[in-house]
Amino acid sequence: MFRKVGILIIIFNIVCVSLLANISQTVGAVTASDWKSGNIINDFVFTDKDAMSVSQIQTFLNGRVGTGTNGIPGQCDTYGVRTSEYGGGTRAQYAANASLHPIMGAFYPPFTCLKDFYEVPKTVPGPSVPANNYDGKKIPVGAKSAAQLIWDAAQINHISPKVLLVKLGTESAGPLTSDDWPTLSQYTYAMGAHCPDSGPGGSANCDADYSGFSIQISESAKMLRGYLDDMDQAWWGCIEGGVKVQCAANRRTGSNPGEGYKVPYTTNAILWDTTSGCGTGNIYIENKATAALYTYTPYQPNQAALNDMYGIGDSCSSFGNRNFWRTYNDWFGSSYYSDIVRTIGSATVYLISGNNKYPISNSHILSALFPLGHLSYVPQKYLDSKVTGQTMGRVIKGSGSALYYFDAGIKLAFTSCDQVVDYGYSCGSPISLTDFQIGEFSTGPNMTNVYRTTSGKRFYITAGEKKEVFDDSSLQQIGISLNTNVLGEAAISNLEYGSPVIREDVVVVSRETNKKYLFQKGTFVSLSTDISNYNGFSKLPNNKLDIASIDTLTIISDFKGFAKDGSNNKYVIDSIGKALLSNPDDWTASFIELNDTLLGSMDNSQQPVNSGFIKADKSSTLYFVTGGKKYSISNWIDFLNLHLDGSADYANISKTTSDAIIQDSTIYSPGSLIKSASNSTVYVVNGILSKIALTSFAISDDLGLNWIRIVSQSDLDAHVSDSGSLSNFISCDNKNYLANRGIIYEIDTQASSMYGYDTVSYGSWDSVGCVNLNKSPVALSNYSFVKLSDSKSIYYINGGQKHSLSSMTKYKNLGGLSGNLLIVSPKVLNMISTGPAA
Amino acid sequence: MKTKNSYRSTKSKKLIIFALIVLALAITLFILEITNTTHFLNSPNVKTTNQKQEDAANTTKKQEFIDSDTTSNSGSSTSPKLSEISLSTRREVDGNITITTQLKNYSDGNCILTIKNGVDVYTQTATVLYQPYFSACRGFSVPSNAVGSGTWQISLSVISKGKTNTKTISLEVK
Repeated sequence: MFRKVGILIIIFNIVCVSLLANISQTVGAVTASDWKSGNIINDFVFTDKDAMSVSQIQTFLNGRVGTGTNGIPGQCDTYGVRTSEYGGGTRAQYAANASLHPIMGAFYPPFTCLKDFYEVPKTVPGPSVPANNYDGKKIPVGAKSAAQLIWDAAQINHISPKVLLVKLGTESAGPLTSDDWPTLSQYTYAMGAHCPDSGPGGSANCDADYSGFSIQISESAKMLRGYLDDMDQAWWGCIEGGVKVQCAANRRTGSNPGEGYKVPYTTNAILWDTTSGCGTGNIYIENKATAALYTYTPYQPNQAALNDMYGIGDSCSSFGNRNFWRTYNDWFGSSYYSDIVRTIGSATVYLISGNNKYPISNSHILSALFPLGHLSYVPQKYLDSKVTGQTMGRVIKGSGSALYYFDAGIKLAFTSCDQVVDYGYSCGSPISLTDFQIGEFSTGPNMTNVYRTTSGKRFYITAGEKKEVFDDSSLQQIGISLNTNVLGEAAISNLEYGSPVIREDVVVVSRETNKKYLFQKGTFVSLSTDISNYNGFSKLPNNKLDIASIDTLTIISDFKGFAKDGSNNKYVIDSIGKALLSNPDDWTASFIELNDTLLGSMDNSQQPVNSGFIKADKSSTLYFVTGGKKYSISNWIDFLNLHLDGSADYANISKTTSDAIIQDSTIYSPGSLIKSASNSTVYVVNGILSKIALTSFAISDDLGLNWIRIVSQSDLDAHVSDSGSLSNFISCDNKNYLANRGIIYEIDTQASSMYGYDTVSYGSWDSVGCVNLNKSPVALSNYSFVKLSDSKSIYYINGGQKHSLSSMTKYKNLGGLSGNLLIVSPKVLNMISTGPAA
Repeated sequence: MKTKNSYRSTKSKKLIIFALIVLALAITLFILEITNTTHFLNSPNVKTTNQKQEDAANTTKKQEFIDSDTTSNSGSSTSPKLSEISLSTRREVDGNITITTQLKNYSDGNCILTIKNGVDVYTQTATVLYQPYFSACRGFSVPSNAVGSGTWQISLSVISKGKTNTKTISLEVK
């Protein structure tokens, strides 16, 4: 009991830990490896003006304030009562002490935090700072909250409020978003807008016409919008080779600082920091938003800055764009979507390229696109902003003319339009990706029409079909190069199976079922397991194919081991090879024609198939085959008795072959006595399937037949009743016999005359039955005297009659000897006419 | 039939099991809390290293701001100078001529481009595009046949803060 409880507790704890660990992981901060210098933020995310409402912005500001040093989240230190982070007692005491900050001079609470800040919007540049409620003043008429001002700027300029909040959080001193005791001057140039780096040492030299929180916000949004819009102008960037690039004049060369317009969708040289001595790094800028950020803040973080994500890196580190990216991700989650997106509400996944979205129809294609990033969940309106293109196939192109096939993150160039068609696509409708996206795929070799899968299959791709290849020789036979690429099988799942590339007289194994097929004459002949293991087939070349490949051609079902060649010679196939049948009709009417070359390659079997006696492999039942049927032989004695030659020969054949022969009843050796359980009539088996009713046991006794077997009614019925009657007179192989006491004696002409048998009828016996009867080596004519075994009376046979002898003397006088005295049964004695005593 | 004693015994076992589960959960939570996997018990004011680093950077930035002359940062009184305008041209593939500008210390303004070739005159205007390092006129793209071939006199006047500065260059256009 307690052991079970212990297990339950452990499981419970594991579940708890797993859940909490997941929670912990989902709120993790960004790291250096997450940074994508060319995609700081997605265009949609950047320009989503409706990303936040005014109230959401207000709520956000309420939550951010006080999250800095010595602060209490959500609270503004309006009166500076908390300890100053710069020393000097409380913040109010520090602020009042001008000696601690002589340039700014003394300043005093109340401090108004951003969440509580209102200002009359400044819409026209001018030197005065607009009226506001800082310092505990009343909210001026016409003033708007900071949240409202941010939202307004976002709406007018179609820039995300989140972007403006992050800009505020990274550009302003404090920053204002979290500062719980800001000075008024922190609001004045909060966004650094219109603050050219023309001050001493490249410091900001802000334009007083743009002083004031409201105009800083609106101008900042306006600038970002201006950059985005101006990027489409001819003068923004230079045209080289038909493509817009960053102008050489804007790249860092010599003393040129390398600043200026940053051009999206091309490689730009971006400074590492404000000093040109640290040089530049090339960045392929993937979108307009990122180009705008680099235009606004023309520096990129170096590795040191990224490794020290919240610190200062090294002497060549810059932080503007790093901080923007980091802060956005910390505050609002991912700032960019990968190129692979879906919404929460719909499972359809799209590849995004430029303004297009391409539905991805299956998980294999999705996997193959892995160089383009992980799946991102996006809002529906993001998807709605994209034009829906065709469903993703496997053919892509960039701005050049080359078409590529892609799989497993590799792109392989098609060598011709025909080849594209072979793969089931059209040259006229590839999926167009950006050159950057194309570049994200590794470059593989050129496409080939022979396609090997990672699982080892090989296909010849042509005319929109995939034809599975049996082996190299099969390919060479149709003159196809063996060159191939190894890629995932799923990548050609769009193609229908075509008839396989395969040569004659080979064995194909179905991958799915392991069933074997002989390929010959352009068709598949299905082979049973036992026959396929026979020499004739097992030594043939074999390989696996998909069942779908096999199904493309005619399948001749179930080869049973009966074959014929072009000359109509018929064989049964056994474990050794082929055995020529002398009476094929005895076996079956269904012979499948095999190639002469194949039959010729098989060894000739020496098994005695033509004896008619067979046994299936791994079976103990013996059969006799005749007339297109097989008859089971009930026991070994019968089996031996059925042989005319006294041998015990039989042929081993496959169970399949044996099963293919129609089974009839059980047969008994001729001369057997059989009866059914329900009927008292006893029959003597005469031949293979005929019977004669036994009228008297005296006859069977004389024939030496004394073992009566009870057989099934059906077996009994299968034996046709002979119209003749059974008597002691039988005919075997054209000789007449008398059955007497289990032995048959030949009745020659002399005996016929002596015993008066000239007019009797002889019942014809089957030759097999005859073999099984005891034949006396002495003909009946040698016996001139007969007697019963239990009587002393001896009869002299002469003139067709028996004559009683009155004395032994008489017997001896008539030539009586032990050798010519035949002991007869009463029936035989009675069958001899009685004459006068001798 | 269950006796009273066996019923009590079952109830006791259930209580023990419940107590064990609660204890196990408490231990689990304690471990998660001290390994900073969760923050159920620690107050949010207990900051991560990253947050502390960020706070320090923000504190420093504010200190620098307080210690700087924020008033003198307002540069509107200093009007841009002529020497702070640079003008260059480039011939595009389509034959048009793009005239680019670099306006050092300009925060805003308007640009007037005037091109003369003999008696032919061509004019374009644009606003100043603010950039932190240097601003620029919002691009001029001039058709090559604007004033015919010959020597173009290209003048750029930038009007900002009530003052106009004009820079002129020559360009041979064939």
